[in-house]
Amino acid sequence: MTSEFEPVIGLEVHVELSTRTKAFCGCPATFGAPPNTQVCPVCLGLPGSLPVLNLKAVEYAIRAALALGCQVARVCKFDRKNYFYPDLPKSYQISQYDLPLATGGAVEFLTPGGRKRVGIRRLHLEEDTGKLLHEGVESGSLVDFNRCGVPLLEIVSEPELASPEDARLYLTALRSLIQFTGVSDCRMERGSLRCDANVSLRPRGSREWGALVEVKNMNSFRSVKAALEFEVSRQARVLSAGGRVARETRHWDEARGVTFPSRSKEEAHDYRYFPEPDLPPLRIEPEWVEEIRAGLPELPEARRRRLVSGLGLPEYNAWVLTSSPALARLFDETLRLYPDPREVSNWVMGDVLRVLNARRLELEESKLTAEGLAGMLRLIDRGLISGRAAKALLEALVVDGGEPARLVEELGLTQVSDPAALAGVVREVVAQNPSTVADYLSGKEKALTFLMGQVMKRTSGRANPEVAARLLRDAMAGEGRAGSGAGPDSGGEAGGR
Amino acid sequence: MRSAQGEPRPLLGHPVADPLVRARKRAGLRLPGSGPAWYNVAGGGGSVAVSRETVEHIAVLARLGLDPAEAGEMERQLGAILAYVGKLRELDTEGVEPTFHVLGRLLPSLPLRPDEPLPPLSPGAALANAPASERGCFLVPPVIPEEAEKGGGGG
Ligand SMILES: [Zn+2]
Repeated sequence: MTSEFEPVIGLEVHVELSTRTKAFCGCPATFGAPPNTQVCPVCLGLPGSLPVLNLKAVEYAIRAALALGCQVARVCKFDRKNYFYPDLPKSYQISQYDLPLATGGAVEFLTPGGRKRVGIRRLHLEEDTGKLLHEGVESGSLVDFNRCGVPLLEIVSEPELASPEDARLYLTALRSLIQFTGVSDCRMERGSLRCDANVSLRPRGSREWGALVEVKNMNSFRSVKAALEFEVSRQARVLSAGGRVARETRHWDEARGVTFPSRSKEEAHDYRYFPEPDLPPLRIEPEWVEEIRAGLPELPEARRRRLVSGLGLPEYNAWVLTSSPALARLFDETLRLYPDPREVSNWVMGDVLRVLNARRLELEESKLTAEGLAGMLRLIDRGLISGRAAKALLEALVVDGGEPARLVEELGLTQVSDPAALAGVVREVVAQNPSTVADYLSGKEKALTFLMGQVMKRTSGRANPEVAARLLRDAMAGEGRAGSGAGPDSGGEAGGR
Repeated sequence: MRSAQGEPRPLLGHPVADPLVRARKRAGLRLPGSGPAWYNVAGGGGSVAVSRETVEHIAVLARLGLDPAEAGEMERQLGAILAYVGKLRELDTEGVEPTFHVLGRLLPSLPLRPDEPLPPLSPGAALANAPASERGCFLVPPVIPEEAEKGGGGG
C-alpha cells in the first residue's frame, strides 16, 4: 500500500509536570479532586489577578530538557496563545512561542533494524486547560477547572519518524526518559501524557513535503500506532488514486478505527501570539542549569549500558527492562535477592509483562514486589511449585500480592512430588487411555506428552513433572510386561476429560 | 543578561547578531514576513494600510460583530495605529537586539514562586458568579464532544 510513498511523521507530546501546585498560582495540582475545588482567581482568569511562575515547574522543565539532551535557553519568554474555548477561562493560554525554554535534543530507540535517533525541535512550558464533561448533560457541557493551570511541557520532535511503529517506539522511549527524571508520571490514561501527530506522505526518496495532516485524540500507545497506520494508508490511497491530500486536522475515532476531519475551522489555527505582558522574560542562569544537571538520576541509557556490559544481557532485553523506571527497579531489586540476571530478565520481560498487559495494569498499580518475584523463583528452584503453578502464583502476586510460600498454600499450588500421592492418578490415566499407552509401548515417545498432560489436568498442574513421568513410564512398562496388549479402547484419548 | 551566544549582554538596546531570528529558526518557527497574511501589513516608512479583509478576519477571531460602518472605522483606526508604530521602520535596526519584552528593563528576570500550595477558593465560591452550574461544574452551551478532545495544549 505505502511502497511508493514514505510517511514523514512528527509527534507533539504534552506532559503534565508533577509539581504540588499549578504553574502560575498556588492551587494544588493533584489529580482527581471534586470539580472546581482547586481553583482561584488566577487560574479562573478573574479580572485583576496576576500570574506568578512556579520555580519547581521551571526546574522540572530544565531537568526534562537536559535528559533529552536539549540546549536550555539563557533567556526565554512567555506568550499568549489566543483562542476561544470553554475550557480556557482567560481565552488565552500562557505558552511559549518564539523563545522556548529549550531546543535541539534527541531521543533514541531500538528498532529491529537497530538504533534510531530522532531530533527534538523544541521543548517549552505552558499551562494546561480545564476539562469538559459531556456525559449525562442535555442542556450543555460541564466545565471543571481543576486541571486548568497545571504546568505542561510541550515536546516537539523533528518530522523524522519513518513509520507508525517508529512513532510508538519513540513515544515509549520519550516516556521512559521523562519518567526516569521524575518530573511526570506520564500516564496516558489519566491524561498526564498526551500525543498529537503530524503526518504527511511523499514519493519514496523525494525531498518534497506532502500536505501535513494533524492527527489528534490518540489516547493510548496502541491507538497512536493504529491511528497513524490508518492515516498513512488513507493518504496513500488518496495519492495513488491521483488525488490530493487536504491539509487539515483529523480526529482518531478509537471505536471505529478511523480518523475523520475535525469540524473546527481553519482560522482556529490563527492564535495571534503576543508576549505575555504580565510576565517578564525568564532568565536561566547557567549555574542553575549545571546544578540541575548534576542532580539528574541515572538515565535509561546509562542503565542499559550497565545491563549489557555489566550483566551480559542482550541489548533488546536492556531496552525492555528500561522502558519504565518501575520495571527497571523491579528488575534491579529482584536481582539483588535472586542473582540470576537471565532468569530474572526472562520472567520480568515474559510473564510479568504478559500478566500486566492482560490485566491492563501499570506495574505501579499492581501488588507485585521484588520480594514476591524472588520468592517465587526460589520456590521453583526448590521444586516446591511447577512452572505451570508458578504462572498461577504470579497472577496472584500481581493482583493480590502477598508472601509467595503462603499464597502457594492458600491456592493449593504446592507441587506434589510424593510418588505415593501421584500413583492413583497415574494408574487412572494409564487405565483410561489404552490406545495412547499402546502407542507409547510401540515406541511413540510423544504419546507420553499427552499422558503427562492428563496427569497435570487432574492435579491442577501440581504434579512434579519428573516424578509423574517416571511413574507413567513405570506403570506402562508394567502394562507391557502384563502382555495383555491394549484391550477394547473404551475411553480413548477423550477419556481424559 | 547573557545572550544566546554566551557573552554577558543587557537585555535591551545593545547590538548582537539578531538572536530573535536565530531563536525562531532554532524553534522551527516561520520568520517574520512568512506568517499569516494579516501580519504582513502593507507599506513601510510610515504609510501603513490595513485591508477590510484583515479587519474582518480579526473581527471573526475576536468574536466581534462589526457592521460595515464600524469595520470602516476600524480599518481607519488600525491603519493609523500601525502607521504610528510604523515610524520605527525608519530606523536602521541592523544588529540591534530585539526588545523581547517591554518589562525586560524594569525586571531583570521573572520572579519565581516556591511550589507551596495556597488555599484555593472555598467550595462554591468559584461558581458563585457563574450564570449556570451543575454538579459543581460551570454549565456552558453544548460543545461538540469531538472538539472537546482537543484538551490541553490547545488546538
Ligand atoms: Zn489557581
